[in-house]
Amino acid sequence: MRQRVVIALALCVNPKLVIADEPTTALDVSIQAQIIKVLKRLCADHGAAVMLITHDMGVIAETADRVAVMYAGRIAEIGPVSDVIKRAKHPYTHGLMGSIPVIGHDLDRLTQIEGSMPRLTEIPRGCPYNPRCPRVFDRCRAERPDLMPVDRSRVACWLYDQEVPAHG
Amino acid sequence: MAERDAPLVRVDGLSKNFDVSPPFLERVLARQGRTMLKAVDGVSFDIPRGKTFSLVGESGCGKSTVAKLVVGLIRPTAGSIQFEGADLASLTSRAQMQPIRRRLQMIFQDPYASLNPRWRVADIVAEPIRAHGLIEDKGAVLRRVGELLEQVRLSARDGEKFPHEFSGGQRQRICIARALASNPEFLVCDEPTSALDVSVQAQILNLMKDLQRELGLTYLFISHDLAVVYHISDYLGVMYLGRLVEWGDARAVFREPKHPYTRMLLDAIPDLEMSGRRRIPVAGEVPSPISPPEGCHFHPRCPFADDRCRREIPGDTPTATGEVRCHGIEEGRPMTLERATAEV
Repeated sequence: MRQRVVIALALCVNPKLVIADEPTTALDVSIQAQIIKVLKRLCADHGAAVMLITHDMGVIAETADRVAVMYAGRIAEIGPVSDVIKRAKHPYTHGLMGSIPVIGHDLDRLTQIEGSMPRLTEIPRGCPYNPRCPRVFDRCRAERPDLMPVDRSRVACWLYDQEVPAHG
Repeated sequence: MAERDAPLVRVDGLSKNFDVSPPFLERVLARQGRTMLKAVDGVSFDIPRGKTFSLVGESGCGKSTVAKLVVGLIRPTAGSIQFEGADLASLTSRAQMQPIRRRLQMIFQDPYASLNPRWRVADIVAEPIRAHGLIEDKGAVLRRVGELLEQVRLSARDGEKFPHEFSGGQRQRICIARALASNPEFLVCDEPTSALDVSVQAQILNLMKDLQRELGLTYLFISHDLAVVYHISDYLGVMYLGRLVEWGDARAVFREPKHPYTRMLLDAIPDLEMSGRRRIPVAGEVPSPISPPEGCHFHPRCPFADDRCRREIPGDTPTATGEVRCHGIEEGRPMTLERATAEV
């Protein structure tokens, strides 16, 4: 209920862009569903754009059109939500998706990304994900990848560099 | 239930009332009686040895109160908690509790708040060993602490550090190491991964499953994240306003939820598969537990409620793998939700 009041407050000035920072994180699923419905109606009725910040992939899958996955201060992958979720390209996105338990999938173990986020003061050289990446190769340790186009997404990963084909 | 061997933990008719009355003088002036909040109301379930029983429900439904009752942090108003046949609620003195306390431990939700920031990790993990007098020799205690830290995939050298030097996931590992220090058989985990990121959550869930296999642990797992519950549970109980409305084999409950509340709860989960399924948001909010609705607590939000639901508290109806408390199911009332797929 309080979250609705906050949404109403945000709408008072007829905004073109609403930034929703973890709007459903503190809520139960039943209330979360209601809030998402409100946010979606908002886009439809007011023509407002919504920038949704969340770590809940389920909410993203249901609400967003495009999604950007961030790692250590940079965008690792950006693209249409269905591509990013179903055909993740960046190894980080891939690991992230695998680590989410899904109802109906009977797995003994979840995919685990080894290690933990680097301290933001000690981001590794090259690709920031390289110490944890299962597909790391030399170039990742030396050079930082920029976003490069892959299908309908853009991915910051040397695996997808067109000019110098990656081994493996 | 009779066909299974004796459960490790049996909770029977467990209730807890909290006194939430205004102060005495105010009450006298306003000519009011005491106000009681029924946080937990007649909850019964069994947990077989080596299995995981999960409790789910919305905030304020009494899950965490059940957890605290089961480990004996608070005393029940009524009902019993049997641990291998011994009733915890009847044990009154510290001396009587001590041997059982060792065998059940708790992991809390917030790994930031549940570790003393001024203690070194080794002291934190050694505390249960010292409190229960399990090992006397100082060197042996340190060796045991090292073992425990390695068991939760930390390094034995981490014992020298302070909690603030660790990330959330690592802190939760320290909490697990501390819980394991007294060689417990039963762990109560109250939202152990709710404060963690998904990738860290996966690490902790994998660790908990590995430990269960290695040490034969029994878990009572409290969570509001249904996907996590699906992944970790053998049995599932759904709570609504202090009552257990449905319990049974976890897979069976997820596949075929019986109680209208369970059905709505499962329907409300965001769909990662993006099958285009429309969610049916649960209408309304949880009523205040101070003045819960008469009869079945869920009737104001239930699309199938009739007069009986408004009057009478439903009893247990057996299902294939558990029990459900719903008049509609007991009577075999037709209960099909018109799926909202038509509303595009």
